[in-house]
Amino acid sequence: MVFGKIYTYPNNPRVQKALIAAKYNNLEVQENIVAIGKDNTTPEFLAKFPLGKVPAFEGADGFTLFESNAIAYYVANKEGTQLLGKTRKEAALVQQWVAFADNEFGPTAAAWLYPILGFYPVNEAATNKAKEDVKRTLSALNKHLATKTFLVGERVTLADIVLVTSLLRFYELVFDKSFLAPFKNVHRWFTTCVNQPQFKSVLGEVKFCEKMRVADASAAPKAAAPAKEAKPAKEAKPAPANEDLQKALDAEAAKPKEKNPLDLLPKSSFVLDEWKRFYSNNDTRPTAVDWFWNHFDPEGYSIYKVDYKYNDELTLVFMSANLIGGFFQRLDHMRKYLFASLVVLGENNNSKITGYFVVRGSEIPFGIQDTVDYESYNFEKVDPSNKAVRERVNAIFAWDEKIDGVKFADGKIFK
Amino acid sequence: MAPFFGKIYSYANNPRVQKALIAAKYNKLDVQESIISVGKENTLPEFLAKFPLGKVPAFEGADGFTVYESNAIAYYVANQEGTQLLGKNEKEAALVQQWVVFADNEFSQAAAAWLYPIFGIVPYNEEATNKAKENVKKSLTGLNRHLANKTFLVGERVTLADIVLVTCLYDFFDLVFDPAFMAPFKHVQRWYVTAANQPHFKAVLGEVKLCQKMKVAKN
Repeated sequence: MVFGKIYTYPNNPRVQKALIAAKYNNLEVQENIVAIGKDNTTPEFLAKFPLGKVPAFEGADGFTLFESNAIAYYVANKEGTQLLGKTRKEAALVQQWVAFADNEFGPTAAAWLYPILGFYPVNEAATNKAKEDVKRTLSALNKHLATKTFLVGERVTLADIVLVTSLLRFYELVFDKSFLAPFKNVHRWFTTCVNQPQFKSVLGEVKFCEKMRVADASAAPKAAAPAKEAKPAKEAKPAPANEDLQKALDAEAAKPKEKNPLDLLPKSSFVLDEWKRFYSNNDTRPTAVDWFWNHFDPEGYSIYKVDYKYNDELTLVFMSANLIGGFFQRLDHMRKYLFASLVVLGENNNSKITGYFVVRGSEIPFGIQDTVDYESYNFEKVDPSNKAVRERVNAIFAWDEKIDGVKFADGKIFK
Repeated sequence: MAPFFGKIYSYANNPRVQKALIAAKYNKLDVQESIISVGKENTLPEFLAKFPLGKVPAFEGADGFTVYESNAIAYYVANQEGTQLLGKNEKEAALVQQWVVFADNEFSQAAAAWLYPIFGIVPYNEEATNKAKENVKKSLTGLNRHLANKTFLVGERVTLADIVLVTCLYDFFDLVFDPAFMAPFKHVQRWYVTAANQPHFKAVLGEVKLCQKMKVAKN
């Protein structure tokens, strides 16, 4: 029997903790993949989840809940479970390690891993600081685990589940052997956990990083990225992290504002904002795509087929999706002139990125050519009157299950 | 007087301690603050032996039990026999967790960008402040929707959810949530005034302060 489902984008580490807890409690919890920026902004979704945030849980009995830690807690909190500790003291310690995972490894993941994933621009100082913070945290954790198999009590609790999922990306990307050498107890604990059948059935075989990955400085601009996820450090040390936040915000504020030549083009009957709203608020097939072709103005706008040039270098699907996310983030200043859907087709280590850009004017605007990502993609103008073109555009807008005969894996919408 | 339950090491006036202190009032526990000089006392070997990360707030029970992370401390103090602070059933318990996390995720970062310049902790940045304002408005819109037909966040009574969110919003109400700004968020305003005026809240926070005119940072 289904206990409930979790709405989310694909491969969300914040969902995995609930899925592992569900395995321990023999509950069937399903993932329900939604298109972020679309499905989570519909009135039906907002009626259930007023903030529109994912992950969001809906129980078979209609009970709704958001915030990933609350979802994991709910799934964990079942009669007879020990996932939340055996006593009040253990319960408090479980809460401690859950908060610890977020506070210690959330901001450091942003500073160290996001540039590697292409989310954030490279910032060596921030990365080095994050590394030092992680080392300090791991030292304390290592001390704690010197005499313990699991974080709290003698058995796996939600604390282990949450901390393992927080550290997973670190293990995959940067925790190589030499980095972990001083933290043997942490490594032993992590390995023990991920080898529990309940962890394995959700996470699969964890790929331990052989050699610490570093961000590719040429793949992202040095300055100016939104500081959305740079959380200020909590508890006792607000000042330093706020400096970082402030720097990031300053950099963002420093972006030049100029009049865009696209504003000088003759007025178009196709109103991009209206399309974006319509796309967000209606089923894509057939309602939205029909609307699109009924309103599209080939004089004022053009459509480009966009393909990643280095598909054979793509590895994990979520990293490919992050690559798109980074590209879209750097296109933020083009929001008035651009709608785009890029998708990842295939599976880990065998995938491609493809999609369409709908842009103002008859050429690729400078604002797109000027991004560092531009050179990595092939842009080919397509004929919007061609039926086959239209059908493929529809498939990419709607994230069909199969596109070009290949399974859809992930996608992002720029709107 | 209630028996001594434990003490919380912290710097003075830490809002992250107040939530545990309010929860203690509800559960009739004597929890004391132990003010230390951060950067000094929390780096001593004795302190690190109890709290390996050296972070405050940090709780030490009368029985020697130690726990850190402010939400975990508040949870421990709240989680007593017969209490309803953590909700009456599993669903309410989960919703309490939801709002606790919500408070942190939605308002901490905004506080840094909007309020810290007013405190003079970080330099003023108009764009960052405006962005934080917009984010706060978005969060308040969701919250307002939730509170349209509710007195408290979860169930019919005060829970840890109300305690945590009130302490999180305290500085906002004190400094920037003036009547004009709050006009679209009447339910939030009503809820805040109701909760913050409960005797156990007042005992820790003092009289409720409602800002009359939004403060701005000195440029």
